[in-house]
Amino acid sequence: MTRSELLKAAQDILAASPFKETEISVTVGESALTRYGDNRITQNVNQEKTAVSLRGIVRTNRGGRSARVETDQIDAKSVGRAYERLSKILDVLPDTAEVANLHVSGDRYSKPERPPIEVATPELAASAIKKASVAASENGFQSSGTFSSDRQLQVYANSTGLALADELSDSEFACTIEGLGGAGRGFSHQANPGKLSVDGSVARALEKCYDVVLEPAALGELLVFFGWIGLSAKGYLENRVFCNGKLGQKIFDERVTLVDDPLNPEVHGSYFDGQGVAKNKTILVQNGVLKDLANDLKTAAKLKRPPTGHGVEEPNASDPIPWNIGLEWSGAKAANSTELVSKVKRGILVTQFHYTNLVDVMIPSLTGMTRNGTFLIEDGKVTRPIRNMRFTQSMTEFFNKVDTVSRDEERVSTFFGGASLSPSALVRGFHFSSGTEF
Amino acid sequence: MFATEMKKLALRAIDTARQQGASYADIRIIYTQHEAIETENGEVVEVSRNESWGFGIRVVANGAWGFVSANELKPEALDRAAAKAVRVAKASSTVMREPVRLAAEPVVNTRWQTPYEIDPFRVPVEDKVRLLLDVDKILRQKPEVVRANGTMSFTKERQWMATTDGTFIDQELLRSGGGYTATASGNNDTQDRSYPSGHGGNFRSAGYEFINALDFISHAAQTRDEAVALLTAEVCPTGVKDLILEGHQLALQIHESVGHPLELDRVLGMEASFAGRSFMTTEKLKGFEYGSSIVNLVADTTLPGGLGTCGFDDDGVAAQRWHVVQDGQFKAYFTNREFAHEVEESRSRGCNRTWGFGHIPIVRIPNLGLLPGEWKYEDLIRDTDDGILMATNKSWSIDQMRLNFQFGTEIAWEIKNGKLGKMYKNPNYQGITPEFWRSCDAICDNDSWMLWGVHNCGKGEPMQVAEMSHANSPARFRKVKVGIR
Repeated sequence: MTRSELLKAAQDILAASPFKETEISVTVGESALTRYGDNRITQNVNQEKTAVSLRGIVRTNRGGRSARVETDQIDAKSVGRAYERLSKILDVLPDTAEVANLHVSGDRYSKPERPPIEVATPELAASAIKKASVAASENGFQSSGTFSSDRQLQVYANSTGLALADELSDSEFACTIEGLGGAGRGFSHQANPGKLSVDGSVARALEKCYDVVLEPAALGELLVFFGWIGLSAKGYLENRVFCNGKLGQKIFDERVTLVDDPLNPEVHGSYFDGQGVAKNKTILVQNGVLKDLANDLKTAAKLKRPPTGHGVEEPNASDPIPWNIGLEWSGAKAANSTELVSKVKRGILVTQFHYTNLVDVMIPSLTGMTRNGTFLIEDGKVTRPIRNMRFTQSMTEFFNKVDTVSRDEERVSTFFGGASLSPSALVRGFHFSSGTEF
Repeated sequence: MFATEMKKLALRAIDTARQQGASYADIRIIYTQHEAIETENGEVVEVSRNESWGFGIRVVANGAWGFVSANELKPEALDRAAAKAVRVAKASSTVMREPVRLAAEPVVNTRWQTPYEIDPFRVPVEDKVRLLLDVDKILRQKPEVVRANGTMSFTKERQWMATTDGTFIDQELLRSGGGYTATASGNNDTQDRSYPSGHGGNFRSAGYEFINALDFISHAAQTRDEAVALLTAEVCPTGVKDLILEGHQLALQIHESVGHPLELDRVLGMEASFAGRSFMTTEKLKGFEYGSSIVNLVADTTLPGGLGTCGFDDDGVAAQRWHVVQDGQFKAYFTNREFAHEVEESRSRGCNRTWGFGHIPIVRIPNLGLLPGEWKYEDLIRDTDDGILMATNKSWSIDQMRLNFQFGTEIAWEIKNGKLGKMYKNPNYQGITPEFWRSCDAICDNDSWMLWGVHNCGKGEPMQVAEMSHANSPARFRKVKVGIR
């Protein structure tokens, strides 16, 4: 299906609505994922996906009612049945004073149409994995990882006349090589699976079995989690974030700037949110001062600020989250993680964190484990792999402990979602609380 | 009539796969209904009733797996998907160590359904909304409560599964549950308290009778008052204490530190790139002390009400009950038809499950419970001199080998000289899996044994969600690190 065909199908779905005010999103896509472990393919799947989401609004003297239903069938009969379910729900819902409004027409986002990018063929994925398996077994190591690619056409339309279409593609090759009591990981992210750097990722994973401070994946995970628990406007309005009442005040070292930038071509995020609001670069913290929060239409109205494009499809009770958060550092810089390592007398190099989660939301502090490459650094050099460790770290302290940041950046994605450009960082006095046995 | 039509489509697809070169194929056609209701601060923020239709076809060709899923239930779409699955399998076979070997399983032609009393999809939406809004009112009767959130959800899944072995299973699974949370703010702090548990509440394989049994209204005032009291409670002290874990937290402890480590696909390295591996390597089958001699952990997919209870798993293997830890000793893993032979078992334990039609089945934790002991709850408190009682999971973290864990709970109470004392906020504890289970010296009896449902267990790529229950009664663990800062 092409972008214009999907736009036409969406208009037909919108035209079938029995409601004066309707909002729809339609997504069709395909995903291919090949996983490998122990030098062999362990799973190889292909999914074709369709999703139709319909929201109807009924206005009354006391406010109104709004609800949403979903189906994965795009034919007129299934859509008709979905509207029937929606009507039945709206007939019995109590009125609420606050019904999120539809984003008004007249806004048009004149972004260029992206050329379609097909998902990887199973043969392309298998050939990449073969390279990793051969390279690992030749060195007596084990390889594991994924080759994934995804193509998604999405349309948002509402009864004010607003209709937006987008085509998104994402692909990743990830390679972990384990041996000699340590592990290294290399990965490549691209929109087009044909452009993934397979050879480079394998070489890097192998190399890191012997060498490599907080690398991009590790730093990226901390930033996204921090954004989630600390920078939601909904949390701010409900006094359940660490920065309650501190908009416009200094909260971190002045060298810290945090931005959420989905439009950066390297980040390749969506142009609009679930409420039809255009996304832009949002400066959340500038030179240590809290400048903005992740807002949706409701929180933006309450805070009397423009929405930032972090809304989730209404109705919902979710926090708006800056999924594309990144660090812009104005302090000392190094070329890359190797130069950062050279600045460390005795320390630890972390490739990635695992199962990061909350300890205390008001500090805020996080905990998690290292994985896929944890190394001892002695006299500016990586000397040997070490067992994994648990960190328990205040993020307020963390930002004040950042010493030097690399100029090199990588696109990273995290366990719970989101993608950003992340550098490596040298952090002084990072808090590890215990170790483990491997 | 409907089942006949689905059977016809299913058989056509696996036949196409065979013609394309598959040595084995199975298909699941699945129709899902899902209803979700959520209220917040006196408003209804969600009422949705969604439907989903689709199929997933899995084949073995040239000795390797291929899988394709799609929404379109037309014969030509099924043929196309079957052919594509064979192509994917042949690509997989180019990076293979040994051909797939499936454990033998009797052929069945049958139907199974979750037993229930009240179909939640026939209970009027307005009744469910009214109940949550009534709870909401009680929760917000104190000004410190800045957020009252309540949810309910119901999922009915009808599955038609066919295999080239000749099996055809028509199965209907029903899951119901819900809960609520009061968030209090003040004293420069914010605290949550939930009923019956955090993370969306408690769930069962049951009908609306489970929501009625939860009796939301009766527990709302206590939930609210505890959320407010936590604002001024002392912070959990740092040190080494005897720890008593209660229902929902102990369920998460079982899930993360026994459930996931015993998934055989993790043990074999199949999840190394994402979910991780396991410290429970296969040589431990020869003898490994997982816990103290009073620890008995039993997997049971026949357990009435269990979220993982079913007639058959997605390999077509019948539900079973078995010890994974008996008198403290490790006994068995969770297996599927593909991996059973890796631990020299001739039959799968029936743990292969998939999330909807769009995903390939993977090894999942079944219902896994800690068998009750002999202690009365009051006696256990009386027998503890310097301890902490922790309840209701808030936060979890565990390493990818499932050894080093740290859990946080919503609330805790001091136990001093056999008596429950002051309330603590922000409690947490840390441990190493086998050391922790070996420190278990008391388990309460059947009177306090109940099922806690995990309805959001994520695993695999693309991420799949599975459901299972962890029955337990409160248990005591000696000399545990608490109050980690």
